[in-house]
Amino acid sequence: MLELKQISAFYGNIQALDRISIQIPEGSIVTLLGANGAGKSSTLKVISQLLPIKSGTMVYKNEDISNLEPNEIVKRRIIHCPENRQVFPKLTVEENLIIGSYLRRDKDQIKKDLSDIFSYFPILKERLKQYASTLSGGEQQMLAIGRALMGNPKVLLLDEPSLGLAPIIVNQIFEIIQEINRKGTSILLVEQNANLALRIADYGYILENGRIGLEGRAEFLRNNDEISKYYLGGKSHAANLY
Amino acid sequence: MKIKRLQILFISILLLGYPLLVGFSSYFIYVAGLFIIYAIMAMSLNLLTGFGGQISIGHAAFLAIGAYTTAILTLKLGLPFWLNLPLSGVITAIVGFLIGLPAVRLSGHFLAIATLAFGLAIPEIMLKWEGLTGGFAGLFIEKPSLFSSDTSFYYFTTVIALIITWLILNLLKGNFGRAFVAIRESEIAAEAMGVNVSLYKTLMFSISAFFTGIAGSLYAYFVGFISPHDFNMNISLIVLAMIVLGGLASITGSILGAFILTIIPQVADRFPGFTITITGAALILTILFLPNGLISLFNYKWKRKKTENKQLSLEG
Repeated sequence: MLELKQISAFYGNIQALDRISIQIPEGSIVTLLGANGAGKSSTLKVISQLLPIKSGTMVYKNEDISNLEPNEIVKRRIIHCPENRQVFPKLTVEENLIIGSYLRRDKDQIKKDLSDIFSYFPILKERLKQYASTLSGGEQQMLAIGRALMGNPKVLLLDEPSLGLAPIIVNQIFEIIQEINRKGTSILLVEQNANLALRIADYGYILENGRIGLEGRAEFLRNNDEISKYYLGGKSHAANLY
Repeated sequence: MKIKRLQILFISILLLGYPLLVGFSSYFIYVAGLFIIYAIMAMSLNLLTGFGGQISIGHAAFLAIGAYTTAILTLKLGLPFWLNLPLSGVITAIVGFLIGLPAVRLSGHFLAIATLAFGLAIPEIMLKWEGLTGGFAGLFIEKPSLFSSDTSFYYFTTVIALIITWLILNLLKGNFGRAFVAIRESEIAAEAMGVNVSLYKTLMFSISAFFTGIAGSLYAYFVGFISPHDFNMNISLIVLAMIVLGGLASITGSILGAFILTIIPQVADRFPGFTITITGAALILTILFLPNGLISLFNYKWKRKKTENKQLSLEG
């Protein structure tokens, strides 16, 4: 459904992505793995057009979207949930969520989505009138995901949802990611925690220095000892390492 | 919200009854008129800086453009005042749009420097372009015949100011205001949520310039004489001080700040250097102890909600 073909991108002179090709079929969870600086976040930024594409094409539902503005990407319901959460600290939880539906006009559906989000993350309902900056890290991550969901995504781009969170919260969030996916949203998941990501993903890409080093079905990547050892820091240690 | 409404209702009643209170003394009406014009300007700047997070240290230049547009249209083209007022706003908004274009790429200190340069350049241009602006000698403008007395023009100014306040409050309540604040809080996240950041930044500058241009037009009529000196760097900095003192991202705060910093010079100018000292001290104390501005003393609702004291960054 969403396809990147031979995409390259730069930060100034520094090449971030070198001819990467990725497919996200409808209804799937695809994960991007790799070390720091491999180009995982850059790939998401390229899709949401926060980072301009230098060469290559991006196609969504048979439409070339390589040269669109970020807001036009959001209109096509490809929603980016950026790294480090990036909630609006001086706005309340409620206001943060409302901004997520910024480009939508379907008021009734927005209300329904809001109550869905509260069923995923009941804590947000309790915190509704609090400033986002007063939330804990895990709650902020929930808010960031909730805010992205308010855009009613067909494709959700999640950047390290487990970053800096306690394992129990991480498990909770990953369960909800699966739940969101079951309801028909395709997900592109960037993760450091490779084992966890491969457990819920259908397909995985491993990035190395801005290139795709390896790709394959999730269970293949997960069960191949050599790959785990070489790329993911060893199967048994992976969870502890990251 | 309710408390803000009450505050504004209170201020409007006070303003409308004010000429009676001071026995139509022309000096007191003059000071009050100045305050109202500065209040419009402070609200416009707060829209840009407090809500939108885009700093402008050259806002007096917009005031100048509005004032000179009015004066030139009146003197050279003989246009009537009901046309001049909106035209001054529109022309200033166009300039604001042009200034907003580089602002899309600049942020923080760099934007501050760019607007500073703009604020310095405009009075200089007006000084040198004598054919159009009268240069150092300035321009004289008569009040429109409909509001020829100080008191009637004072009332007119008050009504315009109230309309502008209402417009800005409504603007901030809707999608516009949300986009502004989102940009201030995190540009990346705003962009990721589908806010067209470059468009809104230029819009912010245009809207802020529009209202400031109207304030400039009112200024030209109200004071009756304009010269480049009226719009120097000092004015830009004082208006910036007004919103910091009154309260960033607060409309009633802008009004309070404008009030205090219009009154202080009137009271203290007999003692040289006193005004600047008081203004400086007030600013430092506000930034240290009331980062949300003096208005936070009045906003009980805010106090209750205040869960953190982090200072609102001008650079954000």
